[in-house]
Amino acid sequence: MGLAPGNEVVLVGEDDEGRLTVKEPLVWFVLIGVMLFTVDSFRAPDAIVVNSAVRSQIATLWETQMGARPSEKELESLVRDWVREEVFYREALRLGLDSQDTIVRRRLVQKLGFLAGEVDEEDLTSEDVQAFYNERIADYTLPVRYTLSQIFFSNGDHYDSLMQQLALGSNWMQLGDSSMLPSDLVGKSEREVTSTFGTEFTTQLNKLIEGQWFGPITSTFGHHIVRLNKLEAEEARPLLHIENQVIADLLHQRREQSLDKYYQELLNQHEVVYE
Amino acid sequence: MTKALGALVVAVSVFTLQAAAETPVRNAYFGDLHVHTKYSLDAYTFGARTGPDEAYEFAKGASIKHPSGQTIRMRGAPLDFLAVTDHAEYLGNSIALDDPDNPISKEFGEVTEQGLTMEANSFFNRALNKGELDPSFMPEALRREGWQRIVEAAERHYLPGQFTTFVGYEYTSAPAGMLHRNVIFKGARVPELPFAAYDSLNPEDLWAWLDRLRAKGIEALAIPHNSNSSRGNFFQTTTFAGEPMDAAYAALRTRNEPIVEITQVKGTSETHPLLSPNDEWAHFEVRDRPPDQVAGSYVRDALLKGLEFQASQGFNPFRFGFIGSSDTHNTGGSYEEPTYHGKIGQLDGRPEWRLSTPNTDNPELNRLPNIPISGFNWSASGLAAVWAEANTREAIYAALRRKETFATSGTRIRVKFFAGYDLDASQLHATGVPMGGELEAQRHGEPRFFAWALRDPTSAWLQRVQIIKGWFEGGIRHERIYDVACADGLEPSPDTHRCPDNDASVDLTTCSFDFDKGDAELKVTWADPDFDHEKHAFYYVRVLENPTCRWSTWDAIRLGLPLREEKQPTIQERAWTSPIWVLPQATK
Repeated sequence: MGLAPGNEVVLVGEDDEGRLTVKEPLVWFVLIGVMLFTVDSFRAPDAIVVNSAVRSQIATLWETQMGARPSEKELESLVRDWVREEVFYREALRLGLDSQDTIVRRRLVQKLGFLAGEVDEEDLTSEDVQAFYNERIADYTLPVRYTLSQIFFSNGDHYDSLMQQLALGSNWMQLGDSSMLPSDLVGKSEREVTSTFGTEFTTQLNKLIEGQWFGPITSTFGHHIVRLNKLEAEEARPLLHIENQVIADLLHQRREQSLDKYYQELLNQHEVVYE
Repeated sequence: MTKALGALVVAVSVFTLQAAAETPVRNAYFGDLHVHTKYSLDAYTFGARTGPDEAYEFAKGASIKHPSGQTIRMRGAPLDFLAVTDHAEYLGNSIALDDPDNPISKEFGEVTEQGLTMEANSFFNRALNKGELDPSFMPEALRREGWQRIVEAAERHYLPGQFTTFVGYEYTSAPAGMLHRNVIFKGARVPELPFAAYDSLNPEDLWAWLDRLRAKGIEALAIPHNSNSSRGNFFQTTTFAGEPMDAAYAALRTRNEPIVEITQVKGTSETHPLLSPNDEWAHFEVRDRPPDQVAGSYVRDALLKGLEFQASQGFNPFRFGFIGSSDTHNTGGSYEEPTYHGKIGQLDGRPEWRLSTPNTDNPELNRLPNIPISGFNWSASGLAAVWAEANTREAIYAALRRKETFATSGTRIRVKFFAGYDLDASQLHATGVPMGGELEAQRHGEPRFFAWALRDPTSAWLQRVQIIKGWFEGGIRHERIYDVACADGLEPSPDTHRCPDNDASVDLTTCSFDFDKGDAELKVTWADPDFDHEKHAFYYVRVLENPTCRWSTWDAIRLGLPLREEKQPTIQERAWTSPIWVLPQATK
């Protein structure tokens, strides 16, 4: 049994460090008597109460862990464990073990965060989602994309003869020097074109005319004749296609906002001193 | 006029005489086959809260949240392919940990009583290293749920022709030093649950399991990695049980492990200065290890042992190609030096946490004893590259299988490598064997080696192309590095086989480098001056860029603090091709 001395217990002293001490056997006897009397007659304000709510909570926890409700016997033993834990827990709190403990601190902050940041998806209206999407349209917009074919040649003097062969209808796939560079890029952003052909190449993309072979375009590798097959303008991804993502982003934003607001409210109740 | 020309085009094109284009046409695709998300319990303890969906989004070029709070995004182009490879052990526990009221979440809080991320992580590692996992901490329902989510994410993000995903996971056996493997599935047919370290710590059991899956029509391969952290165990010359290897063992191993990861964030496993004293580039991003743990931990050494097996016993357990990958635990890989964001989330996500500068007064660092130091040694590496006909699962997986793969330290160098007796550079596949292949030595004549490298236009120029040869002769394993192509019009010395120094330099206050040194492309056909058709040999290509700033230098510049002295301020980014084996006729 754990000791749960109430304030009414006076037959105790304090040692040098201020801890409660009880040394005399007679005092123990009286003390236990008083306790039994106390427990039997009225409940101490800090009593450990095992009521149906606690029992049910213990049983549910067991069920999540083990997949079945505990039997009577199991529950009895679980309750005993719980009381034991509760006694230790209270003692730990009394001794102040919770302060300066990183994990306790984090756990409490985390729990508070869960509560304060609780946002219900049910509360979102389609208008909310649409408005959020409109507001953040830049995040849901695909950049300009290039689809192009290129013929590579290292000797710049070959440009004219290559253009001539193209005009004559030669198979472009077989013209120019063999190269490890891809001959086709499909739907690539400027960033992606740059990472394959380099900046010098990309800065000349605006010279290209859709459907026509154009050159010479220079790059770090040499020379290219390039045909822009398709230019896709900047394009917002339709909300219909990315609704889940937008909802997730909106919920995230609401959570953050709700937490920030809560933080500001709490902060106003504190004075923070930076030394 | 145009119409008339059009008619002419049709008429002429039929008769156009051109050199036929190379068939098959294979493109270089770059990817990462080693990515951890929050479904890896250790990543979760490092603060990762993003999952496989975010991993694929990041690979496709999107921004995602880093565990340290910052937003990360690749500077360069998106990747072409990716596999999420979360640890099979404790897979799915993160789902429980996301819910603070879940019993596992509570239990884990007790395990990590110190409240330190490192404590939580060492709990994970202790369990793995002993193969003792707490069964109450890994309910099967959670494992299934985690695996299911990983499989579904891979399906969701696969865009054939544009972006390829693979279902994968990491088998994390570490009985004494890491024997880790990533398992990559060819398609959507996958087992109900992955084979994990709690099924067996013996990788041979993993291979047998892969064999059984194959018999059921589920195709997969395993990719060893971090051999540099295996304490010499990865490439032992005995089986796991300490028995002699035999032909059946070699067949089992090579059937299931055609490629290895040669480079990643925890360092490069190509070779070590103690193993390759004549290789001036052997110290590249080498992880510090005690000297007695060096043998058996590096891939070049293993390839050499493989030749010895082949020559003396007629089988080769170590015949593999190369890829690189990241091993990130941040959901997104850190391949680029200028934007390095570490490997282990909240532990090294910011420069001061990874000790990029000599500022050790920071009390934050004292709570993490060892990690930042090793974090400082870590490397912004690497990428897996394949030569494949298309960006699809079928084509890329086939390239992995035939080892037509190369690794890079993070930049997108492209490199081809072929060998043949009548090699024609315009018909490489028809006249030679590509990287990863085998060539039968002929009694007369000598093979030619064709090496061709192209720079990454967003990184430094190329400095040199090397061919690394290993051979077995007179009962001894030999290796030699030949510079075969030098930038800037320089020629390798016939005596030292080295290019003269091209003096390419880097400004350590800005990280800008010389723009007039190095080449965009290096191409060479080479004959081995020491060729002997009776010797077992392998050859692979290493391409070196001019020096650029290491990530730690970028960090220091940004913080305006002096550089630490433990690492050189610059590195030479590089690519390694899979080897080509040239074997005497009798043993083929």
